[in-house]
Amino acid sequence: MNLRLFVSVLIVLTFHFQMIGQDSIKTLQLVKELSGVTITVNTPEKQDQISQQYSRLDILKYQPQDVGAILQKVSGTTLKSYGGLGGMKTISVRGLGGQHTSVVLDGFVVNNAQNGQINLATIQTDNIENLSLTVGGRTNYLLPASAYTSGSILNVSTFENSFDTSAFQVRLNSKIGSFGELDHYLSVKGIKKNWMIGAYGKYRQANGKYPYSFQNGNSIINDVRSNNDFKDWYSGLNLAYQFSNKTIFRINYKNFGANQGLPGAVVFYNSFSNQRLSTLNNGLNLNLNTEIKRVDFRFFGSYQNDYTKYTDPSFLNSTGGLISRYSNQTTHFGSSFYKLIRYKYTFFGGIDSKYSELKFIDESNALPKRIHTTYLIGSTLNFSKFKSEIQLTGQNVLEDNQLGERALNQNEINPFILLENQEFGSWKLKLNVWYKSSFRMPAFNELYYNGIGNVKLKPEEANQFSFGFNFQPKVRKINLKVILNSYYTSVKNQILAIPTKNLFVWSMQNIGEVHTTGFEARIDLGFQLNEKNRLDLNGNYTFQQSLDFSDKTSPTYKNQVAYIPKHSGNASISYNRKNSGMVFSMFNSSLRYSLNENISSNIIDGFAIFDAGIYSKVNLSNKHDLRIQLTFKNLFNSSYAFVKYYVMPGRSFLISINYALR
Amino acid sequence: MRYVRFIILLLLITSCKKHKVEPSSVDTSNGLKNGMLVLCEGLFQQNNSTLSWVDFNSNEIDNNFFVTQNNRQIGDTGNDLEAYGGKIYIVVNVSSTIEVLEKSTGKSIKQISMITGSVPKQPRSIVFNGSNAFVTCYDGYVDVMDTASLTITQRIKVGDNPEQLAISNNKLYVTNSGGLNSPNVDSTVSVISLSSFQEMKKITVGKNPGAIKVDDQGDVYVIARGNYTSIPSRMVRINSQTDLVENTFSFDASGIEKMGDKFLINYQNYSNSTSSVCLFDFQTETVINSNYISMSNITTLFGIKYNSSTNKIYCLDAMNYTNSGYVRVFSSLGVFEKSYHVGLNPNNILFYE
Repeated sequence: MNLRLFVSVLIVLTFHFQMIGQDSIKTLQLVKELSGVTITVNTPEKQDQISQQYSRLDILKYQPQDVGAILQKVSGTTLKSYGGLGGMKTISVRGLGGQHTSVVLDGFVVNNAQNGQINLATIQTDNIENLSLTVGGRTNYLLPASAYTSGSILNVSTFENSFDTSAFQVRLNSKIGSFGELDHYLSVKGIKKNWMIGAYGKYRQANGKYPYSFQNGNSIINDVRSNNDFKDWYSGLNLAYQFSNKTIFRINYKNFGANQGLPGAVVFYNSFSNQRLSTLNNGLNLNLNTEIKRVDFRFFGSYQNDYTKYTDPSFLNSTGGLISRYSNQTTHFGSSFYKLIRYKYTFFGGIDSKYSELKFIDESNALPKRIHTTYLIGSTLNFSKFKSEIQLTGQNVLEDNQLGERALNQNEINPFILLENQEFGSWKLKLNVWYKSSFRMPAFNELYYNGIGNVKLKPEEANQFSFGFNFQPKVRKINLKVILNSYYTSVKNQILAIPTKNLFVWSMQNIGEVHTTGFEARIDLGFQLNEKNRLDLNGNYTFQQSLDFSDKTSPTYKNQVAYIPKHSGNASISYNRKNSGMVFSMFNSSLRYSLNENISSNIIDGFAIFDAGIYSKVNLSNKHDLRIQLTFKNLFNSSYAFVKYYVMPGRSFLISINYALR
Repeated sequence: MRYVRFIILLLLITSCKKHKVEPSSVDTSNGLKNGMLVLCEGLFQQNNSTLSWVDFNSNEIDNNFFVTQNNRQIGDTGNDLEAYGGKIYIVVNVSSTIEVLEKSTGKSIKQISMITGSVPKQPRSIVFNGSNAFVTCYDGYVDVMDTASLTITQRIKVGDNPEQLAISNNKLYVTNSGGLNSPNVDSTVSVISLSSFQEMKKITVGKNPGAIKVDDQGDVYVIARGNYTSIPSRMVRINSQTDLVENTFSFDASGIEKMGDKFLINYQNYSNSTSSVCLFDFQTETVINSNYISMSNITTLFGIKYNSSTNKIYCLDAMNYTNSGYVRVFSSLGVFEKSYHVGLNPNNILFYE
């Protein structure tokens, strides 16, 4: 495997690209109230400094195209975006790599064994009712046990999967924007007697031809991104039957497809690029929520087939190009329970098993299979002065490879323990402290990918300590909330790609160790100026010192690891007057290094980007809402990159129309 | 609204700025003398190939020499650096260019784009003969370039993914690696007539041929790199009169450098991260010393060069490939003298008297 292919594969297959200590981590906090969702599988518990939430209203306001763009606004996270609509986006939470975050969609964990993580640019925002990122292990009602094994949980609830009392509801979104973006979404759902039915679909496309500028030596080059077109679509059907107040059965089917050019990094003097990626996913979920002897139970099962095809017609091999196809299948089933005792204590747990199989269709080097079983037992205790929460997760991984050597089986138990006081005083002061250990299995690609994979890999081990507090100072007419967190995380046996045969042959090794010390602050300020006018200010700041502790003799020992900024932050102002308003937001990142060696030639400049939006709502009647927004992204046309030479778009606009029948 | 003004002000203060490349402290205004240019290939898709100028008098280093002289960068993966007829040629693989510079100053004369139609040819290495330069291109050709007009005049079809080339007995020998067909790599050397510019034959030398060197008798030595696991790397000797393989030597090898009437043969063992330099007598075809240089000062031996005017050996140390590298200087007897800190993955040196 040569380096060109290798890098493509890394990007295409959503490996976390961690060359000698690239990458890392983050956290969250929370704030807002849930919008009117009454029946979801996983109603988030009360949120606090270890969980941050975004609701549909926030999404309408900021118009993020995907979940990656939302998570950029969350403190404690580091986003890596390769640019453009649908371009790969991953996050690390508190210095842990992207595979340390469980992604839960409507109660189902969607990380697959092939990559261990998913491209966050493919989770769109049209149908999101609520999104939360929780660090550590705070309990979410009836989530699968396997969601708790990660360092953090990203939990997304959609419109389609939440039923309330309305007999018939419609959502219709259309967007048009720069670089040929066109975007339509339609979802309908209704309730009749005990039946609930919903159907939805989405299509979007963009030509991705955005202008950019970058520095070459002492000159500035202006160019237009090519081979960056993107097209994706999804559709689905939901059906639910309510047997009783406590018992609901749901079934849903969803497919997703995408076809995109992979523009690659900007290479000086050679803008040629014709690699492509197509994706086709199909999934079926079954779910039963019920109550047995006053204990809430959930039983679930799912099947997911993820097909990807990567082509590089200009690859200079003897067959005149490269085609690599992969088919990953996942069958997942299990149950969870939740018991509330005297409104004070809870007792919860679950067990689930995931069977995964990856076919490398164009190569015959491996046929990996895995049975990954997770069990969870936990309890929350509510005393008059304080609360505590304890969880134990156990994991058993059975690995098989019919075409060669298999990876090691694993058996591990990890604890999570949290202590916090009950809010006290007029400022509602609350402190919390927690510890969590976790490990992540190497993904199939890391273990078995032809030439890169290494079946000897051990799991990455993570430890997190966190201390934080929040308070709400009483100031007349102003709602103020302040959240402060500090944390320390360490990752051992970090899986990194290094050259093991020559500079062109890289493979995965457990060589990294990273220690992260972080601090985050979040302030939310709301001014109810008068009955009609409201002003909101939100800001957050994250400090992260993520140091390479891999090798004492290395020149990079205790250097800041690649791609983690020391300072990053968000700020936003929004003003609402009756049915109209405007919002102005910014994201700022300090410089980062493209490699672990902290020298000037590895610097990627810091940047600040500003977005602005103006919107108006029209209440056609009690039941119909129409909302129109004009958003400008990167208002000052700043030239920036998250990943070296993956240039990001300059100024762009987006017009969005949202219609809702309630 | 004063809050709003305050916040907007705060936001604007934090806007970003373009960074200026620092000017060099090394004085090269009287032309390049008594030093070396070191080509550092950098890493794929990072556009960080660099040229370092090392002044042997002052020991000063300009690690950004190409930008200092030309206000722009080399680009992605500079793979070969050679001088011919008062010019320097840098073969840049991923950017698919050949940078032609004035030898005395390092200033650009021409940048030749190696892209046909829209497909990059990915040039690898260059040699010269008469008024022509020959460039291996990964698309399976050797390009012939006129060194006066600096234009490509002809393409000669060879094997898959040709790497390096050497000239002996009025013939051009090209190693066909076939590396992009891995694991089904090529194992041949193409022989091209320098009269007809036609491929005359292919000689089978062993899997994944790479380095190639000619000795004083006109014999051609080729390293077949094997597959890094079950098939070991081997050096073979081709008789350029008969174009037959006459010897296969039973030691591992990665690269060959000529030092007077001897070869320095370097080997990097990737499975245990050790390296060695062997002194080989090409007249008797025997190994004189299989550990000629102590490797205690070198992390990853990425190449080796000998400079006859200083009579010293220069080892290229790539460290761990992601940290900036070093040139480690040894006496011709293999005694360590000093190190120069250069750019990422140094792979070639051009010496100046």
